[in-house]
Amino acid sequence: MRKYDTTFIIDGSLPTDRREAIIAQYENSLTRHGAEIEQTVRWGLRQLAYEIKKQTHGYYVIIYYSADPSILTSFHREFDLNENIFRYMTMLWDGKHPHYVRDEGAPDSTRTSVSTDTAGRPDKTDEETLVEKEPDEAPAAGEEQDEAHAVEESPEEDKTTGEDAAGGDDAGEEASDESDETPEAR
Amino acid sequence: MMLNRKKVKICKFCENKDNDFNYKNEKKLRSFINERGKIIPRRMTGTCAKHQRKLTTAIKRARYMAILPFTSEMMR
Repeated sequence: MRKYDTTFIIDGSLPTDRREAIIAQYENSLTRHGAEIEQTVRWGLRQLAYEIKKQTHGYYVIIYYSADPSILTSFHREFDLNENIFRYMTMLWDGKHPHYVRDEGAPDSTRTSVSTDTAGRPDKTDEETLVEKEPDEAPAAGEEQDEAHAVEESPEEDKTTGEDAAGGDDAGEEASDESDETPEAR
Repeated sequence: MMLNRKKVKICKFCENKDNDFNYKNEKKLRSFINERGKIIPRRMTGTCAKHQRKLTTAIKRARYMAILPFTSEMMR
């Protein structure tokens, strides 16, 4: 038995009940294969960094479990067969639960609204992010879910000016990477 | 472009003894891609070779899982 975590993305446009049915389907599949599920984390509806099957949002689920490696092929096949699953990835798991993934919890949360998310925000001023953000995340346990889904509010407001068309930005960007703290265009 | 001469940068991961290169850690990984979504070379971030390699695989996995973009034009 080895420890694994499998992350998969469900089509974001599916209603909650169908989503939950899919999650239950894979949980049962694991159990049937003889795996022990430690935890199922519903990471939530997130904006995808790029369109998949013309969809902009996906519901991310992570299952942490222990299983015999021989079941994986069969288990993955079930993901392949389901057209509502966009992506899946299984990794060996070291047993730790990362703080940057918060469980959204049970299906009663009706998160059909599209909350802004850090994904899909390609432009981010470098000096702001090179400052280590980890200490800020840990204590804000309750807020973390919002943080993961709703982008840091203040920087995003500044970015409404179109930095998106980052055509020739590379030159200027290298300068800002020097951590001279010269704000590019905020 | 000898950026290293100006200031000696220490690898952030070596300094903090941080070995967590999980592709799900979007915030941390984002600081290592530029506005176009490209991975920033380590001569600019000061990351050591070993950690840059791990970082790169984590970024590529995150791209596959649509946590990070391949390129910034994708969501225009």
